Amino acid sequence: MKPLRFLLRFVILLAVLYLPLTLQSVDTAVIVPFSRAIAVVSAAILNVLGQHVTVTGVILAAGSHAVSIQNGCNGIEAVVFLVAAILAFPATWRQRVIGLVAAIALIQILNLVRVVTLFLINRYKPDLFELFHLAIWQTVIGGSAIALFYVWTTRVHVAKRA
Amino acid sequence: MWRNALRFAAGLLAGVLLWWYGAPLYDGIVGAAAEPVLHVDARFRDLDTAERGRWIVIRSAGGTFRYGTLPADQMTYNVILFVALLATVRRPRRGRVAIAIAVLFASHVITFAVGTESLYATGRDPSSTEANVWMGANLFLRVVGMLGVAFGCWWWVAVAGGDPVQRPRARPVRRKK
Repeated sequence: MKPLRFLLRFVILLAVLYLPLTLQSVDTAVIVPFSRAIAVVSAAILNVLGQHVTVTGVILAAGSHAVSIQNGCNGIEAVVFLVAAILAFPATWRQRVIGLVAAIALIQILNLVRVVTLFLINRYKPDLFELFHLAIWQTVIGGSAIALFYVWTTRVHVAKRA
Repeated sequence: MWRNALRFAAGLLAGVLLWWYGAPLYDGIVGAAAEPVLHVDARFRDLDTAERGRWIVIRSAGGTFRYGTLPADQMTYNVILFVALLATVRRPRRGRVAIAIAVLFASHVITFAVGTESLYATGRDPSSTEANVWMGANLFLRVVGMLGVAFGCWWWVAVAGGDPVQRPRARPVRRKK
């Protein structure tokens, strides 16, 4: 496949897949409940770590410390990226479904680690929060999504040749 | 794979340092480059920008619109991801890297211009179609666009550029005797 054709298909799919997420109805029915679920699971992990966290909607709080899981912190951007990239790349539908399920599961597990660590950083090292929130974790999530896509493309290639 | 992961981590560190210390200067350049783009909109004909730490101040020389600020470093942090990804490329071609950097810079200028339009359209009437369109475009660029542009630039250098290590390739298939 020609790389430029892939990039064009990827950009178009990225825009098309992102459009529904801008609708208020999709945000209310899908994104917010999804972010709430992340908040509940993250709170459970933090409570195992002895943090005594309570959840209110998408907000995790313990005493005077709180973090809110907004768009951009729920891993949806990495999921949209993965769907666009995997659909744009030539493969069978079976390979795409397996790739998407595995990659999205791994990204969401990593995102839970992000939320938990950001909560802990906000509580114990708040001066480092912005650096980790914006620079380090965004790059790690983005880089991981790209790495997962790259590994998937090598597997697809192997399957084609085998 | 582990070597690539190590190179990515080293690139991440270099990218964080570059972005953390270079962002104020770079953001100022992005703001200045966005001025002529925003001047196309008659409402921003006398727009001027100035860097204030990690923020960009937007002001009108003739007082035609209110003073505003944008967190410019939140529009440029994908530089870190691009540097980290670029560190995994063994033999990057200079021409392709130059084009990728130009595209990355252009995307920052566009994101800043769209962010400015979104800020003022929302301020005028948050429920208007204009505000919704600019807000949607702003969110697209800042949520998935940042990741998409860094990935596209890396793909252009590494995979489209034919880097032997990055190109997806098959493992040797063992044949049964």
